[in-house]
Amino acid sequence: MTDETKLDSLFEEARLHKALPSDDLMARVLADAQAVQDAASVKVVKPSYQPDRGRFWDLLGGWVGAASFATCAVLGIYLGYAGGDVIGFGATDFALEGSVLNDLSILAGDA
Amino acid sequence: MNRSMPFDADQTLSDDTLMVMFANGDPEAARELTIRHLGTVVAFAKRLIPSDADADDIAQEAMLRLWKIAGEWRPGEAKVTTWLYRVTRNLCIDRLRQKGFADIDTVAEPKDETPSVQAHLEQSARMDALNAALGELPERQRVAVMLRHIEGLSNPDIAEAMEISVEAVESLTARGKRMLKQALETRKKELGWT
Repeated sequence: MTDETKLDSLFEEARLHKALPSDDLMARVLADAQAVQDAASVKVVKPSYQPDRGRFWDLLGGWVGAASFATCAVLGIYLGYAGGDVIGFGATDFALEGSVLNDLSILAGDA
Repeated sequence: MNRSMPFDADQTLSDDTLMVMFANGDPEAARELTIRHLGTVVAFAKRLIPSDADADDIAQEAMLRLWKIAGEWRPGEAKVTTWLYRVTRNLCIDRLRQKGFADIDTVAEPKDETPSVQAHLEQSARMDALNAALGELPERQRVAVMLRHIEGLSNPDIAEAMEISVEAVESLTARGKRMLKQALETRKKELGWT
């Protein structure tokens, strides 16, 4: 028998002589597999970020309050730019001195 | 939803298919993959690392990494076998370095954690001689020879497992086999070679 043949025979023997895994190791590996599958099956629902608009909306007074706020804001900005100019609102005119509004009768519906 | 498929005697599912089934939660896929590959991984690790306990730990870690990667496994891109060989080898190298084996080419002989020599069969004595001779080889030659001549991998598969070229595999296996013959010359008695 040549050295090459002896070596090949030894390799063949090694292929057949593989150490079997212990029952304990098998159990550990299968437990790991179960843990990985369990972790993957848990659906984690992350709450999507939503700004806390509810509280702010309540403070504003809802749609009515927001509309009033917006109107006042626009009016205030306009008055600031207009200075002492006269502003007409439909049939009622207001005379403005500086940034002071003298006649609020339009709000009462008076002519 | 039925997460498991019954395995019948005639059903031979590929490793790729089993990986997909595992990722979909099939527990039988895990069992089948374990039966197919754990023995090979353990045997391979035991030839690379002196301690049987460490080899078992490494085998468990290699399989755990396989479970974790199942969701990203792409059928046809790599083989489960070569992937496991690669991971196991890298884990063994890391463990050897942690244990202070700065030169991984020179690993101490396996500690005798088994019953007395008298309890060994002649076959075990030949295997011990082979493992000791393999331990004398440089790490890359040792791995290439083992994968080629004991694990039975093709050169392209070895190249994939070791992340080297096929030409490099051929060179390593040729040189490794020559060195192994020389190392076995001093162990003729255990081998029963006259």
